[in-house]
Amino acid sequence: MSSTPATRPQSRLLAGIRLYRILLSASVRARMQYKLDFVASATIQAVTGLYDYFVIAVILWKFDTVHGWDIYEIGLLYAVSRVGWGLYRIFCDEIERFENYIVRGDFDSVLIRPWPSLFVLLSRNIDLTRLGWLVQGAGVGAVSARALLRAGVLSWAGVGHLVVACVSTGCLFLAVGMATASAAFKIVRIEELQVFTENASSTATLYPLDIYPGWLRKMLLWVIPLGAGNYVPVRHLLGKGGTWVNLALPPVAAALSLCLATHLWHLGESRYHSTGS
Amino acid sequence: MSLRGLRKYWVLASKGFIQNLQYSASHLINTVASAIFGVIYIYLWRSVVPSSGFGDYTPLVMTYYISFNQTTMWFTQFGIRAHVKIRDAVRSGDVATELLRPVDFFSYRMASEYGSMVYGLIFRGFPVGLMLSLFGYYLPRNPATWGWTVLSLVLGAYIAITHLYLAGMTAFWTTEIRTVYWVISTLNLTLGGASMPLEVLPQPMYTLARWSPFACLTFNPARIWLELSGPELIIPAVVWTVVLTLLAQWVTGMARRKLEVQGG
Repeated sequence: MSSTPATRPQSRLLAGIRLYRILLSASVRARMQYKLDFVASATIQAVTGLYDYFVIAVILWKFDTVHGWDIYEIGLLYAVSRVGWGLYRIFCDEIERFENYIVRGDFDSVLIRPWPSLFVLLSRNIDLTRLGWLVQGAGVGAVSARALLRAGVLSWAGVGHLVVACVSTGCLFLAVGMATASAAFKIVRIEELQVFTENASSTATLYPLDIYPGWLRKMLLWVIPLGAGNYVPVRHLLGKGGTWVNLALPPVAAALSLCLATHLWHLGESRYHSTGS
Repeated sequence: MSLRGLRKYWVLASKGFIQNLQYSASHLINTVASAIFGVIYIYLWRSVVPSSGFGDYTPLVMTYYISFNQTTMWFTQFGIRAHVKIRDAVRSGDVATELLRPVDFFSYRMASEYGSMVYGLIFRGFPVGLMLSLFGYYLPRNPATWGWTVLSLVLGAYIAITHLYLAGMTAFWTTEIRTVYWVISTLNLTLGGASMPLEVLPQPMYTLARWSPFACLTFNPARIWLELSGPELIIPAVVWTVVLTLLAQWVTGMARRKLEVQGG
C-alpha cells in the first residue's frame, strides 16, 4: 500500500512544524489580549523570583564565598539554572500543569487529536509571563559573566558553552517535568511530587554541589540530573576542576534524560484510563 | 435499608478512604521535599559559617535554626488557603451568602484556616522535623520556653493568615490576586527569616525586618525556641495581631459595602 503525502514521515514532520508554529502564534496572540496583565505578571514573577538570588547575595555579602565560590561564580550557576527553568516554563507549561488534565479528565480530548499527546500538549500554550524568569536569569548571568570576563576567569568561548548549558538545562527540566508528569497516570496528584523533583532539586543546584553530602550530590547528578546542566560545565569553565567532558555532558545528559522521560511518558500513557465522567 | 442499598455507601466510603491514602502518599513526598530543602540550607550554612560562629549563631545553632523553621513553617507559612477561598467565593458570587452568615467573616476564615494549619504541623511539620533531627534538633531545657514558643507560633500563624486574608480581600476590587499574593509570600519568606537569621541582612533592612510583622512568623519563634531571646519577642507579635485584626475588619467592612453597592 502506498502512503499518502500526509502520512509520509517527512511531510508529517513539516506539517507538525507548521502546526506548532500556528498554534504557538495563536497562543501568543491570545495572551497579548491582556497586555497589562502580561506585563504585571512577568514583572512580578521576575522580582519575586529573585528571592533565591537574594538569599545567595546576602550570604555572600556577609561571608564572601560559599566553598570557594564568589558571588559572580555562583551567579553563573544561578543564571544557567534560571534561564533553563524559564525556557521550560515558557514552552512547556502544559507539562507542568499536567495534573489538571488527569484530575479533570481533559486528557481524553488530547488523545483524540491526530497527533502524539506530547506534541499536542507542547503546542497548546506558550506562556510569555514566564519571560520574567528568563530575563532575570539572563540579567544575573550577564552581570556575572562580565565580571568574570574582566577578571580573566571566563573566556568568550566559555560564554558560548554557557548558552549550550542553558538550553541543555531547559531540556533537563523538560525531561524531569515529563517524568514527573508520567507519574500522574498512576498517582493522579503530582503537585507535591513536583515540589520534590523540580523545586527542591533546582534550589539545590543554585549552589556548588561540593557543599552537599555524597548521596545528595549523586541524586542531583544521576537521578534528577539538574546538576549536570549547570554545576558540571560551570565548574570546568571557572577552572575549578574537571575536563572537556564536563562541557559535553549537559547536552548528552539532556538527550538521554529526554529519551528516558519519553519512554516513561509512553509507558504511563499506555496504562491511562479515563476518569469516566 | 437493604444490604444492596448499604453496599453503595460502603463503596463510597472505600473510595474516600483510598483517595485519602493517595493524598497521604503525596503529602509524604512533599515531606521528603521539605526535608531536602532543610538539608540544602543546613549544608549551605555549615559551609559558610565559621566554627567560631557569627553573633549568636555557630554552625550547630544554624542547623537547629533551619531544622526548627522547616518544622514550623507548616504552621506559620505554608498551607494557608484563605486568599484562594475568598477569591473563588468572589468570582462565583458565593461570597454574598458567606457575608450573610451570622458569623464574623474574618473570624470564620481564621478558624477554618487554623484547623488545616494544625494538620500541616502534625502531619507535615513534625515528620520534617523528625527527618532533620538526624542533623541536629534543639530541645529547650526550660519548660517555660515550650509555652512561650507555642504562644509565639499561634500568634505567628494568626499574622500569616491575616496577611493572606487581606490578599484575598483585594479580590473584591481586582478579582485577580496573584500579584498581591506573590509579593506577600516573598516578604513572608525574605523578611520572616525562614532560611536565614535576620542578623545577616544589611542595615537598614535588618531593622525594618526585625520590627515588621513578618519576623513574627519564623524568626521570633525560632529565637525563643533556641533560647537566644526571651518572651519579650511575644510583644511585637501581640501588637501586630491587634493592628492587623483592626485592618482586616476595616477592609471587610469596605468590601461588604462594595458588595451591597453592586447589588450582590
